[in-house]
Amino acid sequence: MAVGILPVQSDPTLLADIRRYGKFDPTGCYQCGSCTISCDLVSDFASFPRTSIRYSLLGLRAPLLANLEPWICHDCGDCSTTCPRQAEPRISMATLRRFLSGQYERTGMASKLLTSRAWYFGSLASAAVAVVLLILCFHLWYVGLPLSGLTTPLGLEHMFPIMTYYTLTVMLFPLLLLLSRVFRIWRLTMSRQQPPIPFSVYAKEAWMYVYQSVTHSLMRKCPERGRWLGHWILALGTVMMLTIKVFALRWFQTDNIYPWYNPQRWLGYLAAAFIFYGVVDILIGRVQAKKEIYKETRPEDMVFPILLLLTAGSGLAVNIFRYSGLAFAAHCTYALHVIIATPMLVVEMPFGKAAHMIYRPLALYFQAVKERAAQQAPAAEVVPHAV
Amino acid sequence: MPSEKSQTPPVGAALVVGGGIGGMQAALDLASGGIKVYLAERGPAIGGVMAQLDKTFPTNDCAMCTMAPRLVEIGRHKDIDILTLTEVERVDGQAGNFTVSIKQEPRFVDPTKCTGCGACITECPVTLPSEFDQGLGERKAIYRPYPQAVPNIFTISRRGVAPCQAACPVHQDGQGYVTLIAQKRFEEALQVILRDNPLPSICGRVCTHPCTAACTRAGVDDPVNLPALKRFVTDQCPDYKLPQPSVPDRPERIAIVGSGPAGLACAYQLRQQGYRPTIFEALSTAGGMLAVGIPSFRLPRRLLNAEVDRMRAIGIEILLDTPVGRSIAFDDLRKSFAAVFLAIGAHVERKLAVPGETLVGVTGGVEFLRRVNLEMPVIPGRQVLVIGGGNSALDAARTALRCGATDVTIVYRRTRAEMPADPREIEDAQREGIKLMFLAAPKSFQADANGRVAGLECLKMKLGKPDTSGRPAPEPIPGSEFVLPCDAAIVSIGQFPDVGALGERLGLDITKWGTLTADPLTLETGLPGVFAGGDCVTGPDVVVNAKLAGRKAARSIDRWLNRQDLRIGRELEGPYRTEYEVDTTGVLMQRQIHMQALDPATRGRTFAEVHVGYTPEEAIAEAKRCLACGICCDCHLCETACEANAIDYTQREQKIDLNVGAVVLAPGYEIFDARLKKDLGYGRFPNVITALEFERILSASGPYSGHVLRPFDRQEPKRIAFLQCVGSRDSDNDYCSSVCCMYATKEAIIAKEHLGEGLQCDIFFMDLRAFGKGFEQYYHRAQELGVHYIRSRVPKIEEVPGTRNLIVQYLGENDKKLFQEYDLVVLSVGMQPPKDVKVLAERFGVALNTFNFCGTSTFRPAESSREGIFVAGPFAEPKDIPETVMQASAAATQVLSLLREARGTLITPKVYPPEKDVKGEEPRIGVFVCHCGTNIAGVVNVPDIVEYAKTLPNVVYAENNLYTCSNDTQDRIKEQIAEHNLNRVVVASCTPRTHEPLFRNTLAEAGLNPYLFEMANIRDQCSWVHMHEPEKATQKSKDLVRMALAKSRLLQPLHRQTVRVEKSALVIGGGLSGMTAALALARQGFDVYLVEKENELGGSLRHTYYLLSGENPQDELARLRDEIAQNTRIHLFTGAAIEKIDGTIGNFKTTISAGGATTEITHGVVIVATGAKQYQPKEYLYGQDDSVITQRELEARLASGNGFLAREGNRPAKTAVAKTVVMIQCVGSRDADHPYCSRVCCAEAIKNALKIKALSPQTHVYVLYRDIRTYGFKESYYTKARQQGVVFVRYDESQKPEVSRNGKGLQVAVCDQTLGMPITISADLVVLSAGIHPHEDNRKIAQFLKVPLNSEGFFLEAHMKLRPVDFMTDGVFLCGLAHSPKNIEESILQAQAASARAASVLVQDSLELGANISQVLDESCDGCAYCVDTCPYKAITMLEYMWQGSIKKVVETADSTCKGCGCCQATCPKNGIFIRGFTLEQIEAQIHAALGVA
Repeated sequence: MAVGILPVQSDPTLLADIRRYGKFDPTGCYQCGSCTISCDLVSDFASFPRTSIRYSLLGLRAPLLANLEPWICHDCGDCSTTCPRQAEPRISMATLRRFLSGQYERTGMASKLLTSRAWYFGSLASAAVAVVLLILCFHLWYVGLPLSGLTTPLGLEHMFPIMTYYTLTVMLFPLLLLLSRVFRIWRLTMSRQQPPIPFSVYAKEAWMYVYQSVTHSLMRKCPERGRWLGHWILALGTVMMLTIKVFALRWFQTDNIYPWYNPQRWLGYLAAAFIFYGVVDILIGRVQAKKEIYKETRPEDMVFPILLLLTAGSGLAVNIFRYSGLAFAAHCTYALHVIIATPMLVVEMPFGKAAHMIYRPLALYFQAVKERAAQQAPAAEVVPHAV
Repeated sequence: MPSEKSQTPPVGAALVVGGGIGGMQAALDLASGGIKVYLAERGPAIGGVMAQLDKTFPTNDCAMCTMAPRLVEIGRHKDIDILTLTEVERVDGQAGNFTVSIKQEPRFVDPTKCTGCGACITECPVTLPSEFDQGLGERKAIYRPYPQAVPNIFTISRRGVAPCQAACPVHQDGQGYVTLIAQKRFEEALQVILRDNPLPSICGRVCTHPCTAACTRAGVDDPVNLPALKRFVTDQCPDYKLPQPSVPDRPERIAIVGSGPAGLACAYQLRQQGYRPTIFEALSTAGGMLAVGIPSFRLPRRLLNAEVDRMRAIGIEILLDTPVGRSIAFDDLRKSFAAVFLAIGAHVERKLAVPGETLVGVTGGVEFLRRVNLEMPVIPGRQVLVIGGGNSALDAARTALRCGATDVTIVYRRTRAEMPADPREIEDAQREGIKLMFLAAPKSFQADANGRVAGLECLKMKLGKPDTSGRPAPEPIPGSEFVLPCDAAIVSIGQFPDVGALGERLGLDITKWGTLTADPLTLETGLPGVFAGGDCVTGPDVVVNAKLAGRKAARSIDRWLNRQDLRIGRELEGPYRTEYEVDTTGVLMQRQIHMQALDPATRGRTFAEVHVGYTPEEAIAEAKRCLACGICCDCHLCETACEANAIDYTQREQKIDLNVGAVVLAPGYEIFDARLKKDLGYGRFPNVITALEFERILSASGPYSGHVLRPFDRQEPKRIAFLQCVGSRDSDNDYCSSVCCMYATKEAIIAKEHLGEGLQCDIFFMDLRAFGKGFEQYYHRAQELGVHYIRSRVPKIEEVPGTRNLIVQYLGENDKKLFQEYDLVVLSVGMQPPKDVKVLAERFGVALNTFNFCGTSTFRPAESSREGIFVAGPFAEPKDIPETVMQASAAATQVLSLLREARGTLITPKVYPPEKDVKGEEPRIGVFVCHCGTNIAGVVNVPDIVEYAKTLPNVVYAENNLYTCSNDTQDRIKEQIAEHNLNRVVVASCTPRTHEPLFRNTLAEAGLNPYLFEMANIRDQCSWVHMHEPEKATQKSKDLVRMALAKSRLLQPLHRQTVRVEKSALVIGGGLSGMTAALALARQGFDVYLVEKENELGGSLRHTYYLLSGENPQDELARLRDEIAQNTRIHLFTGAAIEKIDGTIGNFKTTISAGGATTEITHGVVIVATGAKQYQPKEYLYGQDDSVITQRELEARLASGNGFLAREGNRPAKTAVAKTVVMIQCVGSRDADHPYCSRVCCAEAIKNALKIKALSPQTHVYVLYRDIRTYGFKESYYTKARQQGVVFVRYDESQKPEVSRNGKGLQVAVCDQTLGMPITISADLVVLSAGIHPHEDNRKIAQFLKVPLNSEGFFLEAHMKLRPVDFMTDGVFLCGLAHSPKNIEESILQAQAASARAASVLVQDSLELGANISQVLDESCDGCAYCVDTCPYKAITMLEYMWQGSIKKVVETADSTCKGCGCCQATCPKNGIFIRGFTLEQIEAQIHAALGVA
């Protein structure tokens, strides 16, 4: 037995747990390591996908939960094309990310949404129905329109005051939920590091979180450059849109028509264009399913981009109707916009695919911390797989 | 098994398909079992892949050295017919009586004449990549794959006639002369040209060259410039001569009328056949149109004259100024000559038939050219019009220019595309300033005041519908008349022959075009003996067609004079298209090199030759563009080189039907095409090679003569990487190729032997599969020698630009991604089914399995799906040499039982004349010294040796032979023996290893004792090793001959002793192997004594309940027991022990005790099938904890259907299943005490794991292993197990798993080597894969039989690769677990193999022993027994007996065991024992002769 390392108990049920989150079928694997060799993101400190998959197959739960490597993986699929057994490690890594997302969330909600299609689509639909009801109630009771008066065109202005609070709620609450998991993720992945990592290392590497969030720079090491650009533009558009909506809603949601050169006019369009570009790029890829990374697309993978697209599209339509003076159409489209955007924000952000916006940079940050800690303490023997 | 269905007796012959080591083994076993064998091989020689190997693992024996004797044995076996270049097309009939249709490709060498001397190779100009050297070396188009090839006959790689040659009307061998030019062999190129073409310098200039139109290279860039090359050769050798006829002159005289190309060609061909033709020429110069129709700037007159002079020089008479019909009457001609060929050409000009054609200044083209050529005055013009579009018109126009015209215009009624003239000529004319006017038809000539022509009125034309010639017909445009001014006009629109003088008067048919009528094939006219051809029959045509006519006429005349049929077999005369396709992919673009020409601005003023011809460099470069379409270039130089006259270009494909009773399929395998793994760079990176290529590089006979160099820069590599599993163990090939781990290990070891310790050899692998006998030890030895094993599969290789080194990326310790640079990467390519395996399977009607190999089943491992068709070797599953050999023997034993009734029916015993008694005669020695073509005579002065031999005592006759081994020389030797009453024969030639049996046979046929023969090896030992010192080689040859003679004087007749063979066998051991072997022999009609120490049959098979492949072994066991019980030939002893075994092959005596009684039996052979036992583990709590069991115990529980968890609380539960099962591999295997792999445990564990998963899918199964060794198709079960969720955890020998029990149950701790992480597993059941260990009583049996054991205690066979079931002791055979661990299928194969080998002894009534064996001289032997221990065959025993009152000790030799090695003779201090035929006196005499003492 290796000296100084406590054996980990093998839990044969782990595999079944993982498989609830999607396809995890690397059973053809004979640990040849071709996948890890083929990966451009692998480093001396992060050797995957073989290690992550091996943890799963051997039922090593704690090491798997502590494993940050599924987040370093950017899904390019080189491992799957290289694998001599066609065990599709890329798909397994994607499943592991969902599994880990499920484990990072304490209430079990994420786990439910990620493992059950009924739960997932049910939640989306419920959220949408709730918004419809809210809109109805708002009009019938808060504004005080009669039931028959719902077809009366109103200006948008009457909704803005309440929408400010509404928007802040549906956007910030999911974000806060996500951020609330940071500690749990730290505990799972970092707390048992031996020797313990001093705070200073965390502080020194803190910029990494921002840097990774803003640049996605790791993805640029992936073999296909175009993918990074598409993803980065999509992320940029989404962040721009969120920022506008959270911090400048009053400026944007107005019946005042600014001149065309005013940023109020084009900033939103620019963000929407970015989103369109990014989403269409992804959707075309997923529908064609030619590239390795788009193989094995699940319906759930399509929902977030589609919702993003519809949200941006309906927002744009509201503006067009408004500038064309079609007040009623603008009003209805606006309601639709809110009905689409809300489920996306409250379901996808904290529990679904969009959570990787927070998780991935966090994991990369932690990884950077680990690496720095390892480099700072060369005297202590670093056992890469010890947890 | 014999077919019940067939009523007729079976055919006593078998077909073996595939001449590799498997096919060879099957053929030998069958032939020695009394069956006639046809051994069909696709290639030109047998030997298979083994012949290409350098060494074999694990003994590092030279592959060729071990197999060469077997090659010779097969090559000389009287009952084996080797059919090379043979494909089987279909197999009809049923088991016992098949009709096999085979197709045999031509060899183009007569196998009865070729002696394999190799003189042809040096002459052959065509170089090809050598298949034998995997393309790393080169061979010639005439070749033999390797020097030891059997049959030792050369083969020509010949796709067919090259397209250029086929397209040429006279079949000029374009590829032939081009190939020779490329090699700077210009003289020989000219000889090739002259074979078909007596006028090469003319043809190189004026022929229209249909060959270039057919050139394959035209499809790539431009055709090869054949005309320029041909011309070049004649320019290079201006003083060449035509070949003299090689046959005696014939009396018939033949008249040829006309000295044009047709007449000259006919005369040349006739002269070559010995006729003496006379040519009658009307003009004052010879050459016909060549002389008068073609201007000298295209064909210089001196060249034509030289050609004509050459014709005269070989005896062709040419009479100038002798017009037939005027100077000599045609009738006279017919009377004085045996045959007449009319080739009068077409010299009469066609007229335009327009007004003004007779004006002064209007001439005919031919008339104009003739006048210029004959230097007669011509009317000069300044502004000249030439009417017509043919070559003559162009020649006329260009000549007019050279005669002083300043403005020459060609008027043609169609367009350039329709012009019949050679496009090159048109270009040349245009360059010289000649104008072309198209779509203009002459209407009338206009005259000036002096009546001279002044202009031509033309009509504009347009192109209409195609006419009969296929070209669009010109149609006049009415009213489009215009006038072209001129002061001279030349009309050149065609000619017709002047037949007036001959035709009508003689009664020859004349066509409406004014030409003679002759049969197009034979050129016969209406008059017997009169033939006609050339322009006078066809109308004006190109030169080469005239020559074709000449050739045809010559052939017809020859046949006519010999009263042969004029038509048969002449289909291919004249141009045709070849049918084959030439693959031009990968041919690099390289445009044709044009001949330099004179400056067009000035050349139009002189008659100097326009084109100046190639320089030698240009010619060679241009010649190298040839794509060698026909492969063999048809140059026939080998024919000249071959003194045995063995070359035969006329051979054609042959179809033969064979009648056989059974078929053994051993077609071998293909190596995986590594190009398919694109990322590994094979084919792109020169230093990435396959293992077979590396094998050739390692081989002393390989492309680099055994120097280990890398292909790119021929430098010694310092770092070599071996990549395993290329084309094995992936999704496309879900099987293991079984041999690669070991051959990579071997190659690494050998490479280090070659290049020294400093060489770095890294083997990248996943599981090291050293599962065979001695393999694990070999693997350890490699590690000790510094071969590194790195457990990582390499998916990609990159090349370093410049050095062409290679970067290998892999995962090192702790999963670190590492890069390593290597000089050479060797890919361990896997085995694939043979090429076109589906076609093959269809032709034989056998089924393939999912991997496209030939499917067999566990209990019928040598049988295909079709009855009567058996299978051996990698065609059934990837396997190593010994398994192939065993399967081949197993297939043979099946055939022997199937055809048992027909045994011996188709083989012919050899009968020799009675032997002459030579006792007391003075030696009368005949000496035969061999030239071996030039192989010996090229260095050694052979006639000198003969003269020298004649001077030596007792030599009554000596002669030299071109090839002493040829069939006619054998007859000659017999004649000389009779004529000179010889009683000793000495042959000085090559090696006795291959040729001694042949000459001994010749002596026997001559009635002389075959041992009165001696051989001197003056080839290997003189002409080969002293190649550069001919005089010393000759002197040494004399020494060797003198030595051989010295010995031969002392030779005595020897006779081979025979021993009677007891036709029964003893089989020791009643397990699966013993039962199988016993049954196989009993089915062949032999008595078998089957001895089993247990009380029931079955051995280890009793513990096997199910198999991976699904069959039920217990059913099979019951079936075997039944069959044994019912077979009256099998005498079964159970609960029995062997007390004693005495005797030797043919006559053993054995005492068996069973049930208190002892029985003594006699038998001819012994088969050892004593089996092995399972290790009883002491580790892992086995025996202490009920839940730790062995695989065998688990199997019993799984088979009982009562659940497989032993405990419930403390009591066993019948139906409870385990939640978690942990299996531990290598228990009692691969450790210090048992340093070998038990081979079967991995597959057994997987079998049981799969069974658990089938019974209880929720049970978790862990397999803790060191290397998973599921070789062959078993790999797919490993895959299946992983897919079903069995978890495989690799541990290291230094960190073995630990099993403990705590409150929660059994705990297994193991360090997973992939993660380098210790883990614990809670288990309900721990299953140990206990190894296979040899029985202790093997030692006793080994002593009885005088056979060895290996260091582990298993029996040691005679040779690990080629004799896996034999012992060094004859008559004793081995099979099953007693040999080494193996699975059921392998045990059955080995048992069947042992029975085949045993049967080859038992079929014989008596055994012939060797003649050169030891003999004891009792009077000299004092019983010191030095020889007893020395004898490697344990053939010598001590005897003690009372003689004259005292104990006398002597030794005794067992004749049937002695191999005549001579060790005893060398050790004996008293000259008390000697080897017959190698006595001390004989050897002494040789030494004295060598030292000149005698």
